[in-house]
Amino acid sequence: MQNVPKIVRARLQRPLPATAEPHPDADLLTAFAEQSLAAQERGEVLEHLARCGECREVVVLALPATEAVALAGSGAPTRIGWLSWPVLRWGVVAAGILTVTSVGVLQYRQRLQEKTLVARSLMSRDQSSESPAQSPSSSALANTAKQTEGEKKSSGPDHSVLPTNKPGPRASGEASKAGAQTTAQNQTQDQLIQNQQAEPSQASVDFVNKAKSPPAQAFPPGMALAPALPRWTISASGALQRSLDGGKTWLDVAVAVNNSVNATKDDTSTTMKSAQAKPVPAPRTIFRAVSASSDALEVWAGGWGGALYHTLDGGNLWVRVLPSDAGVVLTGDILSIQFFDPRNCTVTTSNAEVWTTLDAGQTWHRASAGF
Amino acid sequence: MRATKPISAAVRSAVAGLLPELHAKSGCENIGLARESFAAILCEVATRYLPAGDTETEARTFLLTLRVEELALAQACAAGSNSAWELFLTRYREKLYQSALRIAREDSAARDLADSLYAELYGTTTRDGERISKLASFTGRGSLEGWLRTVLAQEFVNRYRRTKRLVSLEEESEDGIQFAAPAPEPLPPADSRLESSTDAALSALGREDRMVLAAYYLDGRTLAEIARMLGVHESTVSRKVDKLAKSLRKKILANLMQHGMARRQAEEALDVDVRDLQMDIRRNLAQDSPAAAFSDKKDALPRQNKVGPRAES
Repeated sequence: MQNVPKIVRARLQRPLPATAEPHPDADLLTAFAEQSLAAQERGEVLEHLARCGECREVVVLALPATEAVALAGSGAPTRIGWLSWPVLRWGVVAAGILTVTSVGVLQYRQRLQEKTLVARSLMSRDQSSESPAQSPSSSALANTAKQTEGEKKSSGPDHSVLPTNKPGPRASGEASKAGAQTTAQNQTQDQLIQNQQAEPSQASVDFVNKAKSPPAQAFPPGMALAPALPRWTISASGALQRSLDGGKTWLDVAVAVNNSVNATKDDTSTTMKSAQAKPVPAPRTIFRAVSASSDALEVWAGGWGGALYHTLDGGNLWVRVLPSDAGVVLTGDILSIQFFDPRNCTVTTSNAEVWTTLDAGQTWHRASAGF
Repeated sequence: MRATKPISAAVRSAVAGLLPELHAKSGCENIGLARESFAAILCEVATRYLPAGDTETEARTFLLTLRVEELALAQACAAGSNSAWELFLTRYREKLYQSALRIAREDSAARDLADSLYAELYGTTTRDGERISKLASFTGRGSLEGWLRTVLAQEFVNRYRRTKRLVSLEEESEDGIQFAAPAPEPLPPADSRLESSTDAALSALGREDRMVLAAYYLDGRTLAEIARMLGVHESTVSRKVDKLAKSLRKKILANLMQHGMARRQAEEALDVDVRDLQMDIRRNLAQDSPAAAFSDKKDALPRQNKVGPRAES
């Protein structure tokens, strides 16, 4: 703070004239300190205070304790400790709010989970009565609201939706090659699972066609996920499955594409083409890899023939992603998916390509892996 | 009780008009204060603070700002009502000791301070065989609790000053400005232009500004304390002090130059330590002359309004 010339102090300190007015009484000084004087009286008291050090001292000494001021003039001049009632009072209120909120959240989650489970169980009953190959209509059952419009277009040729229901129609050479590679990689994939277990932020499951093993066991035991969070896996038959009860029961998830995205990168420019204006249920895709974020909301799932799907809401709305780099489109079977954050994803294919994106799938970079 | 001023018709009719409302608010019944006594007290308080010639509307506005409940309690205590006294003790006894402790900052001194005030509140002083309580001087302008703190502070300052006067001159000079010791040698006459320029600059300031300057630079009060005195935010006081210090210097320089000083000369004069300049020591010492205590214990409400003149000598 700036200092004032000494002469100012000296002159400020001048004593009151002998004929000066008497000190304001205790009532006025109190009312002054409590800001309850009218302007004129306040001015008079201020005038006196400006010249009378004693009254200034009285006013300062008589100020209420600071805590009392905070209590809006209730005026308890006591020091308030941490364990005193005014503090505890708010503590009790805060604790109450916290309890109610957490109970509410837990209830909500539980109810949501129950609802989904009911829906899934209904769906699986339908599926079991039908042929093992999922028909578009059965998958539509789960997503009726989103898909009704798109039904009529589903049969039409569409480059973004895989026409394959089974691995059969695929080129046999490629398929066998892929099969050989996948079995060869079983060991490494399993190792990968073990490694990824160590990363708590990323619940990633790469599952490669483990013959006859029930999906629940596909998860390595001790996969430390909260029971409330969905888990993802691929069934033996290549269906994408989700568990809502920590791995006890697994239900197929129909990947219904609502908005296909065709990301093409022509050297410099990236064009986003919405290949389909209306949502269409995806035909049966054989999945080979799935990777979910720690909160299980963002999931990447990939399979044969370059099928790559992405969801940001835990599997309700899927987007088909078609990676392409300089005119080359990802067509190989996807063997593993790894993503580290919402933008950054790496996909490994059976034809030894590693596709990476740094912008959540808008543009991709292709590299040959060294296997 | 005697009033210093005659009660005006405006005050009378304002009190008459508001009496039912104020009486109900005051809770007089429970503490044994008659309605008529309460009306008389209201008249006295209004007459004491309102300037002569105020209208009835102004009297009404004034009466409505009073803390009638606390006023009634204090006056009932002073009148010797047992129930009022019990209520007073329940509400304020503990607070009184706590406030005394905050003011005196030392337990035995605090007890001493609070006990002596208790005696005054209860009314040990008798005149014409009548017990006079200090509570009779409470007028309800502020809270009773605040008033008790102020009375404690006044008593504390009075005591402090009394003991201070006994302190040796050497200690006083070490203590600093407020109790400045006379310089060992007579000082040369100062430039009167500097004094008059400073006085002119200071008197051009508002009351609040001067109060803030004095509290900050003379009393060494913190910005927070000044802010609480004025009921404003600390940052407001901070800005104000900064601005005042700058503008004061400029104004004094301008005044000095008006008095025919060259700028450089004026700046030099301003930067010289004032203690090297001659000062009217006698005038400074006059501040330490015996002044009246803050309150005259014997005075009940009607004559309490003007506390004794500053210099009795």
